[in-house]
Amino acid sequence: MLTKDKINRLSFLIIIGLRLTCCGFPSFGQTEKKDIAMEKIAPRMSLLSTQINGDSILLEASVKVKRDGSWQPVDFESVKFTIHTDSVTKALGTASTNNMGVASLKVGKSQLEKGEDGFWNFGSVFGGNEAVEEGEAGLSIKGAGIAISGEKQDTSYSVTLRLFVPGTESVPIADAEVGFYVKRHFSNLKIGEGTTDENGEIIIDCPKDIPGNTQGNIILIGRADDLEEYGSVAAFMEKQWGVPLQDSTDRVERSLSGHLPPLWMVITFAILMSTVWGHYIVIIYKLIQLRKMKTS
Amino acid sequence: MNLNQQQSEALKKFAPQIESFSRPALVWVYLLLIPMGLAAYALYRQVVDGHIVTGMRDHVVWGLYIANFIFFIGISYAGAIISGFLHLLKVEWRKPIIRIAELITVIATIIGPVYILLCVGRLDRLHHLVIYGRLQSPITWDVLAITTYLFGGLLFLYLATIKDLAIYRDATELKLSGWRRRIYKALALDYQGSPEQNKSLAISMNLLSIMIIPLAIIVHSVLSWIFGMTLRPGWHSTIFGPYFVLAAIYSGTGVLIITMWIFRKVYNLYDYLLDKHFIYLGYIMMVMAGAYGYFTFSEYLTDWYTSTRWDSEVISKLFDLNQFGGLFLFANVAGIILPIAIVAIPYFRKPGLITIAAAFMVLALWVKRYLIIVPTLESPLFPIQDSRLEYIHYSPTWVEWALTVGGVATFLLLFTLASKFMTIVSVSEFESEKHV
Repeated sequence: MLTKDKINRLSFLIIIGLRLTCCGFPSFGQTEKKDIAMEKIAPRMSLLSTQINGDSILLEASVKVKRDGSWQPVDFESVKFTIHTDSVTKALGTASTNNMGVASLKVGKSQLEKGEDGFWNFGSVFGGNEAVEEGEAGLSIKGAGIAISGEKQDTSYSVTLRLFVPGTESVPIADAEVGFYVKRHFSNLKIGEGTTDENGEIIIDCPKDIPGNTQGNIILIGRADDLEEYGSVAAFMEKQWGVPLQDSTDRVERSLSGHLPPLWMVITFAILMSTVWGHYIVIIYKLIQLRKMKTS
Repeated sequence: MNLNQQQSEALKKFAPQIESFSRPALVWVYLLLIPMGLAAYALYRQVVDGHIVTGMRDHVVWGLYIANFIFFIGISYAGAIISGFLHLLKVEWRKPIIRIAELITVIATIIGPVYILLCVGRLDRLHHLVIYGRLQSPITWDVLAITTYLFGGLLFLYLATIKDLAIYRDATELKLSGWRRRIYKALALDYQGSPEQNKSLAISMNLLSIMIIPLAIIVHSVLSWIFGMTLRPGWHSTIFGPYFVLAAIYSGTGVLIITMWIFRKVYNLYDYLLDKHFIYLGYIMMVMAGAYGYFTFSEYLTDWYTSTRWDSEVISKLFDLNQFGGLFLFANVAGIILPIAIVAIPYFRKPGLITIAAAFMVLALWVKRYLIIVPTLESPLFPIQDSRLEYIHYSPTWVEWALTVGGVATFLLLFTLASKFMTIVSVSEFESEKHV
């Protein structure tokens, strides 16, 4: 027969047994978490540029570190952009790296001074943080011009792109590989490619069945990547050459993903809520009536 | 109000409980204020510094707060079952415990949704739920369902307390301050015990008892559908609706047993909260444990057998002792096997052991809610290479723990204050010769 003492002892044993069962019970931070190394890691930095029609340059500085065998972005950190002219370094601005570890800064060509060699000498500096060392990257490019135009033909649209070195006599940039794209939401749709001729020009046909926005507008991009002296060069042009987008939700007014809920959902909800709250109202009414009921 | 002999004896016994705050009660309240103070500071840090002070990041966007929310809404089921279901069945032995059950329902339903507010990043946009609410969203269903449930719970508690409030109002032997008597008088609504008033109250109670059961089922089902209707491994399951309802009944019963044991001990209520109350609730707990174990087995067996990549990833995390295996083992041993073993074996079927089993079970079910949320969020369908490890793996911070403990302390404090406002065993229920 179990006495009270024995039951108490048994309770104690159960508690201990369960505690032993839960090896690692407090491990709410479950995985073998390696502590973030207190030793600073050297980053890998790169600086890329894209010269854009409209006389601006987009500078992109990428900051990454290698951890556990994979390259991981250094995000939400500040990167300074500079331009070096002879012996003078001028600050261009500061930008924060995004979640991919890339900091972007757009600068106007007119505010930039070239070095004696005719190059723009850009620099990017990351000041480091408690886990990552300082880093820097540089880039030297020459100015390039890019012009894009479009023409509606009888049965198609044609896009003409011209690459040149601006100056009193503009010098065409020949044999440059160019890709043509239409801007999409996540990545760009390639519609053509080719090489510039001796005049620095390339012409492609643009398909007529590309979906655009509700007005039928699309943004065409002509882009030459990683030219030896000029970096990347890109031109943007918006044209009403796309197929106007039909807002599909307009066609189905009431649906799970639509603007309005399905009718059966509204009716079910109304019946349920009115039943429950109707009961509540009846009960509250009866409570109010309680005062008026006379004592027998 | 005229009282019969048993009601008079009960009132005399419970009078010290509501007349004043004893020294131990005051000490208890001050002790509860400490974790609540720490929770307040943690909340301040969270509001000022943002959610970066929590462990939630890009991948694991829900953590302790949501586990606590589901837990508190789950334990609120105690009132629905005991008060509602057993009231309709006219089960006599429920009478001494209905007040406790109803208080658990109301207090838990008040505290649970607060954790949602703690989890929301932009509280200044909370009103968007109303002005831009979409009826198609399970979140909207949840907001409406819980609001309706809370109102119903409050109404149910009030209905069941009116007779007692009238007794306190009229009991001149109770040493109560003037303002308290005025509150009791206002809340008692001139109830005098007339046949018409009794009939009206009985109809209202029956109506609400019928209403509260499907309402509780809907609330917990809607809560489960926030997960069940999301395309995530471990969440997207048709079984989640009944699974959550069952877990709610189960955990609610456990909290009720624990609360009964505490009040029986503290207020010496051995003549009212009998051993058989623990045993009967123990039987309910055992049956629920069996059903819950069956649902758990079915859920994981199905996921494991189909061997789909993303489900297998979650399953492997739950069975890996280096990851969530320890917690998973505890949740199943303490949450399923222990209560069954304790209640099924007659030698162990004692209030003390049943209460210990209930305590472990409640803790195990809290852990289970954590295991529903976090391993799934750590197994996204999109690749997560090049992400920081601390973004992928969730570890609660002191802020979240402080607010968790603060919520529990708030629950205990509200319960303590409620027990000072009304007797923990309903005096008016002793209407016949045999009260249990």
